[in-house]
Amino acid sequence: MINLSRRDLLKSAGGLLLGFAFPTSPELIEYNPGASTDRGPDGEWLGAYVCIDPGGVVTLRVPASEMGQGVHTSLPMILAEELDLDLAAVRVEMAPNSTAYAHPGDLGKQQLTAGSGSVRGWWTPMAIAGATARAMLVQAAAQRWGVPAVDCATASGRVTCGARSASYGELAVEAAALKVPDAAPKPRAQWRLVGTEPPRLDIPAKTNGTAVFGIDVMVPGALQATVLHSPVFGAKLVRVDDAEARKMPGVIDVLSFKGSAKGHTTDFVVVVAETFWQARLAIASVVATWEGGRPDLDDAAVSAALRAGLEKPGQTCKDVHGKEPAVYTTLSEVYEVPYLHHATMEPLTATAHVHDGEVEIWAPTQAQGFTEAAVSRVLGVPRDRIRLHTTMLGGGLGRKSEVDFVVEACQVSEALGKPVKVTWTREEDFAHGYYRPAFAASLEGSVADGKLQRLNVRLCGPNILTRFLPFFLDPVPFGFFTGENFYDLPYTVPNQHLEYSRLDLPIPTGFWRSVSASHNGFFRECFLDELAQLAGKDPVQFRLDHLADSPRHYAAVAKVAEMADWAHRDGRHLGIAVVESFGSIVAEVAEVRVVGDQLHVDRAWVAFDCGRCIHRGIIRAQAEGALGMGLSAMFGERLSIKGGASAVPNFYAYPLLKLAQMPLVEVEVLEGALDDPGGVGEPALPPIAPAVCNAIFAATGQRIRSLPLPAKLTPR
Amino acid sequence: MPTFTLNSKAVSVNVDPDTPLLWVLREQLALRGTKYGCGVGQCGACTVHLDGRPTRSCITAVSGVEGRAVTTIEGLDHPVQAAWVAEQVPQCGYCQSGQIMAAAALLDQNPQPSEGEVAEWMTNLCRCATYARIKKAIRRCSNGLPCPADDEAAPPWSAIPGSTP
Repeated sequence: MINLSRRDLLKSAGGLLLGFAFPTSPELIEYNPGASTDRGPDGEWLGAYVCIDPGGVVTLRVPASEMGQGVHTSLPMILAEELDLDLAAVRVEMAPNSTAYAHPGDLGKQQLTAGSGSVRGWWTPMAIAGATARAMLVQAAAQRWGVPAVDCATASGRVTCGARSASYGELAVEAAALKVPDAAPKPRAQWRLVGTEPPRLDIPAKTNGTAVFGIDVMVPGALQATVLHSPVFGAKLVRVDDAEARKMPGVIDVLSFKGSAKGHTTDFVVVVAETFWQARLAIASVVATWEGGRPDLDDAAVSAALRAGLEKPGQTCKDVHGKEPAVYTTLSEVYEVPYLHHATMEPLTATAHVHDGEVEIWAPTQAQGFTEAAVSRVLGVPRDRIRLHTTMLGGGLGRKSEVDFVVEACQVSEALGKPVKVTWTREEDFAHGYYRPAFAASLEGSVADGKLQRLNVRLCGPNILTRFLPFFLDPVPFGFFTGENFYDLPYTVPNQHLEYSRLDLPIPTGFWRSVSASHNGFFRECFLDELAQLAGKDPVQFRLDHLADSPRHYAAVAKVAEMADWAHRDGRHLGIAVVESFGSIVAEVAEVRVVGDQLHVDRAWVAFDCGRCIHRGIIRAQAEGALGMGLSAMFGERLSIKGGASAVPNFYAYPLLKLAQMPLVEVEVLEGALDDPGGVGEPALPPIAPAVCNAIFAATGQRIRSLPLPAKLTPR
Repeated sequence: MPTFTLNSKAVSVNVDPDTPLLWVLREQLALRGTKYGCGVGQCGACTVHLDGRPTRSCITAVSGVEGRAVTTIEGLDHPVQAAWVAEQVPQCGYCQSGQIMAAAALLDQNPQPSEGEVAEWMTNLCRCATYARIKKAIRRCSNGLPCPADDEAAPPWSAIPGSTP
């Protein structure tokens, strides 16, 4: 969930960041893990991703976590393409934690699934790895047969030359003994798999109950535990009365942990029992006393702080002066969005076994590298003694790129000397998130002659990266998780001024699917509609008129308008938005009805330019799902704050989108101007809220400037 | 010691009778396809069939299933599962056991649900928002069609008799 490219780094901070990759954690600086001790299947390894066993079964190792985004199909497709393997015949395995599986792109040179970056990062290395393995198999066959390698062909896991044929399994031993050659990936004209839509490899197990998520891990002899943290953010544990809890059936121990000074965890109490249900019952009897925090904080105080921040000058990020028209009209508005929770369907959970200086972990994590580093620091165990098995994730969405839930499990196991699974209740999950920050924007725009002349923006909100200070730069360079979609404004506007006013509150924030584009896309695209109205222009035409320098945006807007038949609205209420994130451009149109004071989103169209396509079906599915998550946030999500704590106990106070609210979605995947893949998991989220809100204006004349939507709309 | 039928076999469990069925399934009986999502009967990840009716097992005490028939995803063999594959429904997959149990129960009692009936019935939460495909998968199993209808697109609701979109 990290929106950062090397280009962004260089653009934002000049030479300051050269040689300094993704700055998410202090551990990064000292990141130097040992090799994984997990050797994987027995067989001949041709590089880190491909293993061929004596029976000829080919195992493809995937370094990225599968959390629904389909990466355990799309990355194997790249390898299978180059290796001329049938996708249905390969075995796919999640890689263990190892530097061999560090993300090769801009995600800190460590193993991490984030920032819609897996296919983007691994695309080229995997293509080369597959091509190299294939070249070795061909070379082995050529030597065995005494023929030139160029006369050999590969298909469906076999090398052939005339009438001769050998399976990869038969050639594996000879191939693995060869010197690793330089091999180039196939020319695109020869692709037979990339760009098609084979069935996802993980889906059968997800329809019969056999998929193993983190919560399903059962290590023999493991105890079951659940945790309690301070309800008030930042409060410290003063006293624990666990007498009642200890008397409860099945309870084995009640332990308290002071937050690690190293910042990975906060104070917590854990009840360890024979079963989770016993632990869950018993923790309700624990009387813990906490002190500190900011009990004065609530939604109103957060909103007041955001609005006050908008009144003060911030850090200037962009200041562009061009031609000023003599006469223009100006509009100023303030927009605001709340804290949001990830609410992954699988609550946080991890199993750990710490014994004899060894750590073994089973966890649904997006962040093998950060986790390994954090466990090493907190437990004082060398990194090469940590084995981490990544399970399927019951949703990640950025929450499972944090390390807290895994580190805690390791601390508990270390204290007990036994394997233990720590599973959070849903209540704890809501109470201790790393929330999408609340944010506000004051926007001022001027138009003359139907064109944008000026856009002044001041943003106020927490910066996710401050959590990692002072290990990172202070002040945090503008643009990191704050100014996206404005500093790289795709619209041609001659005069631009952009400021960020940082708001520090003791409410933990983190990377929520699509990160800052989730708020800035809303601010920008709704306000742009207001400016179109001010200019007396059609919202689609107004965008096209200002996108001459952004051809990918232009194409996406034109395409989605065509899909929705924007030109023939005939009483349908449509709204449009286009937002770029993670290297992709997504334009969306929503069609709404307002019946009484209630909103119905009937249809949505998506034009998705994510560059080179690996698997169009997965791209469409991700577009539908991300759009649904954006709608969910728009309709009803607010991580409400009361008394300095989350005021959300469970889903009844945090309504997620239901099936009945899901529109009919039509997705067109554009072959973009890019040769390389763009992000897929996140970019379709940000445009839907502004598209719907702009459609609400078309239906009712009501402008929505804060989210979630009011319970009742104001019909015309 | 509560005794009930689980996936067509008699079982009895030595457990506090107030324990929710969900945790008996997951922890005592090692059937972990049924998921914990909220513990308060809201999200539906824990949906099982109790005498054929979809039931939130996280708020159903095991004492309440005494002598009754429980079916979990592991014991389900329903055409809607093939439709789930055909429509490539799951993403993260965590809620899908519950979604499938809910959909199977719907189709068993109402083989031709209208779009409105599907929307009313299917209250399980999916954070991946696979809802559009869930609707399509259910539609594939409606209208007395063979299921799945191979690679052909599912018929529109309007093609389903009695459908009131």
